Amino acid sequence: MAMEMIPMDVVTGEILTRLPVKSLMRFKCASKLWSDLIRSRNFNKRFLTVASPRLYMCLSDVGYHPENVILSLAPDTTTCSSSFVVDNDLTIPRKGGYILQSLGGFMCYLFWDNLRIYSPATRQLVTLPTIKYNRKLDNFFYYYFGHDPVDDQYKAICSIAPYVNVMAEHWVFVLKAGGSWKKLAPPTTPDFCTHAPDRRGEFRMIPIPRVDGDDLLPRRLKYLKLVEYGRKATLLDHTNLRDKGMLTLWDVQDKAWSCKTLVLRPCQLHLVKNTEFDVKGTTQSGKLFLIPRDLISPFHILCYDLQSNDMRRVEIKGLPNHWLRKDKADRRFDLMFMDQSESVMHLET
Amino acid sequence: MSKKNIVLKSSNGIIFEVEEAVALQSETIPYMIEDDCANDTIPLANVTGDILALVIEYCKKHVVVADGDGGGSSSSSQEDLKNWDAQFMNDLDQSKIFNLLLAADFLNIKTLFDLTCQFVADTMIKGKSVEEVRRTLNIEKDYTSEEEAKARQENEWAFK
Repeated sequence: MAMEMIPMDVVTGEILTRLPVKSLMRFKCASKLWSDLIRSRNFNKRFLTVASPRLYMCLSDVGYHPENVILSLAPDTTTCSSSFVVDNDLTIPRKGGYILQSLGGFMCYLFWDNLRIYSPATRQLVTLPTIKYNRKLDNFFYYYFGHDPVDDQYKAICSIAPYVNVMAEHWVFVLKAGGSWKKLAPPTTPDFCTHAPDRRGEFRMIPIPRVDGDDLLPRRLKYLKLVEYGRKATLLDHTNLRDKGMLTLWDVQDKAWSCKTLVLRPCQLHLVKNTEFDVKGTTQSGKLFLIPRDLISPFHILCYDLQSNDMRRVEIKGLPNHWLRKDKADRRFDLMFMDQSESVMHLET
Repeated sequence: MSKKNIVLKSSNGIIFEVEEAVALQSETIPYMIEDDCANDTIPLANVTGDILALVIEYCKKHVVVADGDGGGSSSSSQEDLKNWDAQFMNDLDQSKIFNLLLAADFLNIKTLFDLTCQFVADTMIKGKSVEEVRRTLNIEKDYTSEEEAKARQENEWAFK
């Protein structure tokens, strides 16, 4: 009994898309045709509709990069409480770092002076060259990676600024064969701008809201995070989350900002009281992920359903013990959450 | 409320009478009812009797849960249903699985189609080697030996 009776479009569109990425990467070796198919954007779009959520966690040793590791975690199906467990079979050695941004299945991080774009699912690594800019001390670098819907290209953007609220110069790298860093014309908006790294990664320049000539803005930047919420770019301010359980959402509408404040239920306040959390991003269902600033044990993250104002603890199981024992000063970690699925998208370089 | 029955006829002429709610899990059948309202029997030219019996067994199982809870089924009954699905698929041979997949596609029963596709992916494709998958799916090897070696090297981790 051969599978020939199943039409090829069902095999490629419905059966292959339900396979784990590891099998797909192996089957790229079956034929050129299949390799092209699996690498195609169309296949990737279909793949995105069926796979299951996954977490990636980067652990890095500041003093010794070869120790770096990326852990792949899947939802733990053995318990009914929400938790993720490390899939040891898919651990990636010697890769990763502090994730500057994650988008559509790619993580973007710095390795020395080079921007790296890495897909933990397909293990494709793209290392971009360094930027040949007019070197000055004390420059701040901001990197963004995204998909530009105008010309349907993946791009990396680097903003170099002498100080956080001073106008930056912007460089762009288009990911295609023979790509290089190119300096953009200076932006016309004199205000502090940020790119909206939303899930689709569409580039937008959004001026940060200033309340009553807010001079504290640069200091508050640590607590600001631009995420996609309700299909819109939303700026989250969690300055008062730990003490008052307050989270402010800024929503840009027709160039004006509207603001909404959520207050955590008193019975859930203990979740944020003793640990400092950072906002990591939102899921497609509008849940916000918060990760602790340090590797606490037992390790957990928080999932905040903004719609119902309900915060839950999500256990992370199976972290290697030696990382928890490492000196705080040596270890860094970061997390990337992919709610719908992984991506098998291949970047052309 | 009286229950309306629908009569389905397989390609080899076997007649099945099922409750409307069972049959309407197929998104194809409503169109056939509209197109063919004068006749009570809906002919399914692409589905044989033994496969149609399996489809109906599946639809009956899945209609009960939706009824009992007014739409939203509890997590325990969902768990039961998942176990039932797994058992249902495990009892079938390959030929029946493929025919069931095709019937689910033709009748447009989304959950059954998802179930059969996932089962085929997990049990017949997932763990296969490159050579096995070429054989199973009749894929022509269009790589030169050098190209294949390079592709294998690039994706070395996937072979561990």
